[in-house]
Amino acid sequence: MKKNITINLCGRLFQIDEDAYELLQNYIESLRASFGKQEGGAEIADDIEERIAELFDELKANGTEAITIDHVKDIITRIGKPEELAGEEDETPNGEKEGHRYDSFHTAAQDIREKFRARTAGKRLFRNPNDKMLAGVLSGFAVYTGTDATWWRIGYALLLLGSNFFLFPLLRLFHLGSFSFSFNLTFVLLYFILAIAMPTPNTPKQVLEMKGKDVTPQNLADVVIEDKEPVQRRRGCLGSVFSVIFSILAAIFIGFATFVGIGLLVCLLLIIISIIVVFTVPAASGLSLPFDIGYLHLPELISVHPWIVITFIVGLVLTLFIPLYAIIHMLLSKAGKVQAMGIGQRILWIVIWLAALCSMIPALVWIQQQEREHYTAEITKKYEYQGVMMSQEDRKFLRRGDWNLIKAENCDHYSYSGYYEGNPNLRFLDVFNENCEEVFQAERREAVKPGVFYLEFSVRTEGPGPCVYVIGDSVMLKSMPVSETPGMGWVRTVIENIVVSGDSIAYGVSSDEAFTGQPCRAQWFSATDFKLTRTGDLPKSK
Amino acid sequence: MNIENAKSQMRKGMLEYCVLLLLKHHPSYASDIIQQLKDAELLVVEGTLYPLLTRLKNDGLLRYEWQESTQGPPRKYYALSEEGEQFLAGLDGAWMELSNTVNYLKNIHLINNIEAK
Repeated sequence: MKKNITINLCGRLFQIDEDAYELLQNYIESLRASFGKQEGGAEIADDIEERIAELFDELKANGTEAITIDHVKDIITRIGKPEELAGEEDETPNGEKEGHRYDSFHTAAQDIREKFRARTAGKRLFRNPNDKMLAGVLSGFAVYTGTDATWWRIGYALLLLGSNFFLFPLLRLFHLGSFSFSFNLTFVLLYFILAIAMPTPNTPKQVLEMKGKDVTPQNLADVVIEDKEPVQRRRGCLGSVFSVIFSILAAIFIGFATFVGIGLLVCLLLIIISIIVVFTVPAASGLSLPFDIGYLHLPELISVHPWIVITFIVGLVLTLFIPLYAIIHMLLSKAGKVQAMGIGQRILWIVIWLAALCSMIPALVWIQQQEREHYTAEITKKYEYQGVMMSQEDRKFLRRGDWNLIKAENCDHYSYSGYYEGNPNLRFLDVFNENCEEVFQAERREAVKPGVFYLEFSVRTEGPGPCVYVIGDSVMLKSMPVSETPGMGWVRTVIENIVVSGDSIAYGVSSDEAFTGQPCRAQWFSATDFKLTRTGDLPKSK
Repeated sequence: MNIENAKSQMRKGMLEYCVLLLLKHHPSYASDIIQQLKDAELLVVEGTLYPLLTRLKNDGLLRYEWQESTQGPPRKYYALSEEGEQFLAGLDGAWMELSNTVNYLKNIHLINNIEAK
């Protein structure tokens, strides 16, 4: 039983077997290819096609229901093969060859190339499904180079087993001996990569291409007929064990590939979302993105170095997209939905992927370098606040808190963040000097209605000296209690009974001996969370 | 050099002349020509004729016109052009000479014998 199709040949319909159709198709194609070179070639091919249709008509008239491969073969013998027809005005090929002289390395190399080309002429590299131990990779090379597969197998086995013996000394020779990797494993991997990369011939045409035979009707017919007979595969006991292992490995590989593909898809989506967010939402650096590229400050960089940023983004997307595409394509082709990629296509994708990777990584390194320099410059840059130079953060903090600097000498910094009230990001007043020489006084003024107040605050200090003070009607001082536990040790303290008859009140911290009357013996002190509360009106004047 | 090869070479040389001869009186379409040549055992593979017809047409020796047929699509009917007729006349002359020469060479021993007597 055969599948049968209807074809339209020169406007007439014929029932034809599928294999016969394939043969006919190839015959007409090869005729067109062979006549295409000469003048009026298309016309000749058209005429011949017309003739084929006429012969089919005759068959039909004689009661043939469906055209079979034998009919097509008869017609091909009758009309003739392309090489018989095209050779009408054949010139005899130049039989004489010029003697080669190896007068330079170049000509010798050319000679070798020519010899190799002669062996591989017209062939395409396929895995050989008809003579295989595992996947037919080595056998494919053997067919391609016109050599015996046995030698390839022996050579591969030697490489596989012996490579660590003779390749490591070789590496050491080039001072690369410290490389720790297994050549054996590399060659095993290489085999599997090749098994995936090299296609198997699926059509009779490809079988001929593998063997380097001309795609002629006769050869095609041979392949088509050969294909129908049960294929006798030379496969030993060891081979069948290997083939079972191979199919298990293949199944594991497909599962793994699916898993990796899903991972890649998720990564790619996250990256694309992140990139869109970074470029569309202003100040996205502060947001927590699914894929953290906020810290790279790409929108700022793109205006200065657009090409590097674009290279990075395109490279990053391609680096992920190409393997994803390859996996999807592979799974689809395994399911028979699409045709497997040709070797040229595969190599093209690999080259693009490598190019993407090789441009993306340097771009990323460069961007990170820029970012680091920018960041370092940012934190070491000093800003002026009330005549004192300080970091941007300190200035921001003091300005927000409305702190007036009365004195600020020998201070390493003016604010700090640490664990306070369960919030690690909260900043507070904090001064530091390794030798306890800081002279710091900062105060804040609040407008109030006259009355009686109390001031709550949290402080800590490393040693005695620093005070909190309030200036109402009089100056009130309170020494900060020395922390018993270094680092933390916040103490909530109160200054009570502050009488204010004016319309404002000032409070602050001081380590200035001239103001507090106490020498400063603290390397650091901190203060925060000032809270002024009114308790009542002024006491009735006496 | 085997006999088949020699025969095929001779046929090849003759084919062009024979095609022109066939078309001299009756314009025909390709399949007719094929049939007649096959009957005359001049043609082995049919496909050879098509490049020949196209070449003769391109050289201006043949022209063709489309004619409706009783069955199937219209067919190309080939006929000699004027140039073709002159060409054929030239070939006729050449053929006569060739044929005479061959006959003469074939029979030369007979002539020699007669003269010797």
